[in-house]
Amino acid sequence: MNFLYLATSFEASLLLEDRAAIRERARLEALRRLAGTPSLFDTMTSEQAAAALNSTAPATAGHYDPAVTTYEAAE
Amino acid sequence: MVAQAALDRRIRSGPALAALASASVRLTPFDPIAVANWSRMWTKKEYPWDSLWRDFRPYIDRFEVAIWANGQVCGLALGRPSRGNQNVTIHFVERDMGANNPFGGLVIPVVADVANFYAKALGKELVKVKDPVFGAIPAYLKVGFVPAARIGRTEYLERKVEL
Repeated sequence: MNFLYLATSFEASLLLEDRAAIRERARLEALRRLAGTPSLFDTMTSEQAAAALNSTAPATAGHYDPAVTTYEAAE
Repeated sequence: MVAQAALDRRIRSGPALAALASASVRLTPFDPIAVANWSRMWTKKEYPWDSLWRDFRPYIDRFEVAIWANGQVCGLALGRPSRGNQNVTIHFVERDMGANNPFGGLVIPVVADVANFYAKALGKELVKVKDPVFGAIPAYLKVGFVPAARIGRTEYLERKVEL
């Protein structure tokens, strides 16, 4: 009997948690993990920022091949 | 977005970034408006971002950022997290090389920062840059990337996720 109750309420909770709720839970969890993480901009000195702003280097990465349409991260 | 908050904070307090203080700066995901802005406004285009976005869009787990200033897209980046815990890989980065891009050499720091936050949120250890263009490598090294092991013929840079 207890098992049936648990199974039913678990199913109900799954139905109640729609996509928006799942996204919101993930967003809050991500913010919790990120709390206190230093930004690169927090540690960048004024000289470094000025040098970056004066840079003429292209901010470029990537090798485009029209035949490749799927992408996986290296590991 | 945490990276947006950090950038705003730095623009307000850092004299070196005073030029950006009067700009309306936004970091956003890709959307049709960002891609249309790129298509219309960038005079020199290295990558076909409309095709790339179409290729990356089916992946639920993807990294993407459009850097905006004064209603104009200044930089774009796309990437993917690895299946395991190792990394978030930045596959493509480009900045608008037009003279009126207020982000100039700041596109790489912004993309590295956003990728770092994304990697940390996912519990990854590294941010990797795939196929960095030779002329841009010094800019990556300046923000803490180091050369990583080559995989096949593909060059990588990597940076440990800051905790």
